[in-house]
Amino acid sequence: MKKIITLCISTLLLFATAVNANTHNINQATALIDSAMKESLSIINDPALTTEIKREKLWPIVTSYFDFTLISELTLGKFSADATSPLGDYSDRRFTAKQQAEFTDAFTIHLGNLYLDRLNNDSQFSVLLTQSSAMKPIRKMQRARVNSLINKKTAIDYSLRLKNDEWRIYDVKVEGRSLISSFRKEYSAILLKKTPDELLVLLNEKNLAHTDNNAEQ
Amino acid sequence: MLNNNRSLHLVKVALSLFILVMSGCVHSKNSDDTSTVTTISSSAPVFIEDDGLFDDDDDDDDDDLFSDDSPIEATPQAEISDPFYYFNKAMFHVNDKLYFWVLRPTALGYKAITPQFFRVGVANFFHNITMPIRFTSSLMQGDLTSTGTELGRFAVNSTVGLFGVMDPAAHYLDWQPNNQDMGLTLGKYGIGNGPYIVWPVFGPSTLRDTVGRSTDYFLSPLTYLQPDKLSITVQAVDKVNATYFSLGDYETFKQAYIDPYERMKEFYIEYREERVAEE
Repeated sequence: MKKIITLCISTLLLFATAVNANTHNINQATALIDSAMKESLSIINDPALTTEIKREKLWPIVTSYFDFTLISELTLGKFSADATSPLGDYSDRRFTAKQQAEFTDAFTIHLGNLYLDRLNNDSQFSVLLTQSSAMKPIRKMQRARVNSLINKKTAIDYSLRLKNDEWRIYDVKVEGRSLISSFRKEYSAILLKKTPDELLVLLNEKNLAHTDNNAEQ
Repeated sequence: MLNNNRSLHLVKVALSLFILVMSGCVHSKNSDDTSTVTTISSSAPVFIEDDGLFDDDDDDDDDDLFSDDSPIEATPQAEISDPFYYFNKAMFHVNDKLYFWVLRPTALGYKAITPQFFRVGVANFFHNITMPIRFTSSLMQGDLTSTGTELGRFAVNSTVGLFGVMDPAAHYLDWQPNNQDMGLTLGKYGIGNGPYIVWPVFGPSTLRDTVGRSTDYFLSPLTYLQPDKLSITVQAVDKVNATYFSLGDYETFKQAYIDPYERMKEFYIEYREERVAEE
């Protein structure tokens, strides 16, 4: 009987530990988003800073909070280098590791440009973090979703993963629309007609058109 | 070119992705609140619905990134009917040039000579005066609550709100507009999109929404202003004022995508389908 009670208590303790660990990690993810918001807002809402200075200050923040390698991999989906799903007649459209590395670099700059190009106004805004939740772990990574409200009306949800004790954002949903899904759809359609190299050329052309305001300038 | 309210809203939704990507940044032309407030309401170890970006069927490291095992090519049902492709694509370019050469510079000039409260007032005024479109659409959809709300909003805003320049109905009574139109009404009757059509000046549409928009035209009091020149001028002011509120969105959209024509078509159809599906 004693053994059974001990077993029950141990199980309960184990469960409680797991719950605490999970809660602790989700809180870490929330803290990361909170920190990212505060850092960004202090720059964007500063009327004394010019657009150029805002760009310079924000780009390192963006790169430190986002996992662009995972973002790129998920954006390419079935066409990514490590994917195993059969591509049938389109097997030559799978990216090589080298092509994917090039894609990651180009796509990172592309996303950076899209974001930084918006920093040309003197508007102010607020962020309210509303909820944090756990997603089912995958590839031995814990995952979390942090929901927020911008200016008390626009819902922005961040998907994060925990890898090597670091939380990083891998997707952003605006009013339920996923950043990755949006680009994945476009690139999948293009890859039915063009090769990975041709897609890279198109993406690099887009980035070159942004020469004046390139994210990495 | 995105120079009608529906298209503007569509692009706002679609482009908000890019406006807000990465460090959670967003701009609002109206907000002055800069504080960050954190209120976490839940951290229970209950897994929420997955985002579907990974394959999580197996516990081991599976690198298949699709959770739905979708086919490589789009199914015929998922294809958007575009029999007027060449006409549409030409109109897309015409509208693109109209936006960059005419509408955008005009909206920027308008922004330079008018204060923010004036632009908001103008937007409120035009929204209020086009009440018959939303009222009739709600009525024909059998949505009596929204019909009543639209009527109440019009009564309050046209009087207390100084001919619709202000919106006390929303701010003080929380009577929010439903923004229905006849295209959505036809959709709720079960009528499909029909072929995709890009109209010069008016932008993306479908056969169903074109019929709906034509009906909206006759329901709008602005149509009946006399002389005709006055009607056209007033509607042009509405377009320019509305464009101000979305300046930069179309530019970002165009920069974001390699094939903006296809993405615009996709976003338009998805957005309208979501609106039709709304309760």
